[in-house]
Amino acid sequence: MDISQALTEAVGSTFANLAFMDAEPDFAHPGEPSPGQIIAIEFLHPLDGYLMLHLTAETKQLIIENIHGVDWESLSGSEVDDCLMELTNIMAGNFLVLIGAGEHRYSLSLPQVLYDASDLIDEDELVDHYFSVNGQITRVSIKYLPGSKNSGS
Amino acid sequence: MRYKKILVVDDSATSRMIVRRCLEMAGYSDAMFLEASDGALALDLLETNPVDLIVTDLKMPRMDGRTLVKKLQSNPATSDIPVLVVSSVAGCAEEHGVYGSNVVTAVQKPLSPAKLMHALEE
Repeated sequence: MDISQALTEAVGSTFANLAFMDAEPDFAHPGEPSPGQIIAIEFLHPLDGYLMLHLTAETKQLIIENIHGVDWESLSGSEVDDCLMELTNIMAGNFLVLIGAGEHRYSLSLPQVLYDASDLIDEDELVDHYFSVNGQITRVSIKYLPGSKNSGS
Repeated sequence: MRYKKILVVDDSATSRMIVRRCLEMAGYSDAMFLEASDGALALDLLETNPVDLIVTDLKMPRMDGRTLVKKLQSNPATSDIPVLVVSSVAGCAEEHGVYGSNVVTAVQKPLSPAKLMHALEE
């Protein structure tokens, strides 16, 4: 499966099954998502790279409320971050399994919340993919290199 | 088999909530749920709280799911407890051999009540 197809499937199924939201590729995206939140995770095996999820504030709120089933103002900052990190972890894991067919072991870092992607990586190294998530533009940026960063534990 | 006391092990509180919610919707609404945020805390909890089923993530700080499974297998008091592995990278069948006989199956996240029910019926 090619990268774009695997990412489309992983993003679509994660949003649908975890947050009950529709996510479709947005090839003619009208612009960048307004700044909201970035969640990053690193591929360790069988790939070396990153996945970064860029969410608008509106999409972030909808994800949280759909998953928790409560008004997001009733949740703490750490509960909100944990929810977004779990969504990113699942998305990256599903992508890794789809792209790494035949591998026996997969490994990801723990996800982290960022306010600026350049804190972690030179953004020029990332390839951007745009999705419409319940009508909101959402960017998923990935860096993908064959070969693992560790032995695949 | 009906599980009456279930330990959910995951570093994400969101994930623990989802596992519990899915199990409740899969027919385990009467079960008692215990939670731990890593393998080491799960082992501590098991010393005083025997359970019928353990549902664990793989990637966790301090002690991961694979180490937890191995420690459970090596202890006669816990080696018979069935373990369900849930992970964002748990989908491949080859993983099953890694874990050993006490692991019921490995289920890939995102979870659903149907996925969990099917896994527990295997």
